[in-house]
Amino acid sequence: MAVVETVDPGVQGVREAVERYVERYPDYEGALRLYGAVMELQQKALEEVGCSVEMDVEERDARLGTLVTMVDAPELEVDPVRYRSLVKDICTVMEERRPGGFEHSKELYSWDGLSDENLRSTMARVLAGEELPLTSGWEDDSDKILASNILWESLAPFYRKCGSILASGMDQSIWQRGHCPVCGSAPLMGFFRNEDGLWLVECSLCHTLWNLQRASCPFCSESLGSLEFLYIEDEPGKRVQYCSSCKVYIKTVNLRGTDKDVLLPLEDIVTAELDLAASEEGLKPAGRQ
Amino acid sequence: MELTRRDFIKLSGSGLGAAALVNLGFKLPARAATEPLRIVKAVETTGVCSFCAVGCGTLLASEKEGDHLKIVNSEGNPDNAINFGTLCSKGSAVIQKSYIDGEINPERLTKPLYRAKGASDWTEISWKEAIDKIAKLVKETRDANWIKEDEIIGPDGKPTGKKVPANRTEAIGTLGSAELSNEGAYLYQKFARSLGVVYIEHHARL
Ligand code: SF4
Ligand SMILES: [Zn+2]
Ligand SMILES: [Zn+2]
Repeated sequence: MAVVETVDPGVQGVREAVERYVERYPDYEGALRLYGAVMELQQKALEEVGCSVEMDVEERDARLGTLVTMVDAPELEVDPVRYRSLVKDICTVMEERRPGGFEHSKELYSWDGLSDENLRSTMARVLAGEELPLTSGWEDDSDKILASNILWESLAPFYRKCGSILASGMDQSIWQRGHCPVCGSAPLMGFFRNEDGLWLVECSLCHTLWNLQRASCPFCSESLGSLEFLYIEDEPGKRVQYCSSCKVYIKTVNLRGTDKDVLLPLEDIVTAELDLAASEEGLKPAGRQ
Repeated sequence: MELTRRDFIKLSGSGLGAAALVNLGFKLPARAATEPLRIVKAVETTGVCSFCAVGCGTLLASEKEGDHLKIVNSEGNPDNAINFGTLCSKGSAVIQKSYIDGEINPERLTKPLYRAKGASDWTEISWKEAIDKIAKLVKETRDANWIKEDEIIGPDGKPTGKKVPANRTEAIGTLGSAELSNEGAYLYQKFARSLGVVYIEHHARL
């Protein structure tokens, strides 16, 4: 039975990782520091929020056995006060660190869609990747997408909290699917584990790690023999694992036999070239088809 | 290689990170923005180490070279319940059966070889020739060494003169493979027994 516990980096861990990444990838400094600041806020929030879902191990495994995730994502109880304050803090990070700032900051954190009554329907839209009903002054698509991203990142600690409790001790072999066993979201990125090469991917919402089979596609039924990979010539240790049948990909760092450590959300930034390569090949990132 | 606005919208969705990099207003580093990316494509295939009876699972990465795939890496398969990603020193070298330092292993057999009686050299023969030769030798050996009946020995250790059918040959032995599945091994021994072979062995050892 393979058990993999997800370890949260904590505020200090994020800070140290950002410094390491900036030193190694100075070209990405701005984005690393911006996202690092968002992660710090998330780690801090994680210490304060709770998980309203209660489930024993038998119930959890029974759900997973019938392909049902541990949490019904749009139904999760989220403390609206703590949520709004996190949205506000992340907006502030955008104002301060995003090139050109974020002119809609105040409009977003005081938006009616985040009120106690409307939060649930907004959450459902954010989780489903649907356009937000933001109207006047929000003509620019990129601002709307940024707003969705901020609301998504602000949800992360609530789901992470549940993941850290519910997924603990889970037998990895009972899931191995293309979406997260805790919340059902797509994988952000993955790595091959140092000691044995086990492929672990991290959820883009709750950041739980789970295991996928190395040589088969987790997204489609044409999985056998369809999984290929590509890399950029001078960096064979970082690859795009993709399915030649359904064309979905997951970026993956090969840590096998190394003593390296990665923080995948930061790794996601410094491997932007792999996304370009994948898009040149007509591939789609997981969950963003 | 500028990402167009349409591209980044396509790339954006859940969360921030790389997909939203351009959306956030950051420029891609110079190399990514200006130089064509040199992309290498490869495929990973599951296999089984062929060196011993344990039958550890392997993963073989291969890249296209001309009209064939060239194995560029072998490693233990972490998903395999026999070895969970580990390989012993023999298994770690399994790639060398095909390639040594990126060159095709000159010792690798790709065609049947035949050494004639009394000859010291091997000559290449076709699969048809090889299979015909083996079939002929099996038949000749079996016919020349066929044991049709056995005599029953009495409690006093002396032959009783009574016979029972035996239908076997002790002149042929077989060696199965540790990499056969249960079903394959079953068929293999069934075939050997149908020939009357009684020395049915297996290379189950390290
Ligand atoms: S124990 Fe070694 S030689 Fe035997 S199958 Fe495993 S890796 Fe191969
Ligand atoms: Zn999740
Ligand atoms: Zn697929």
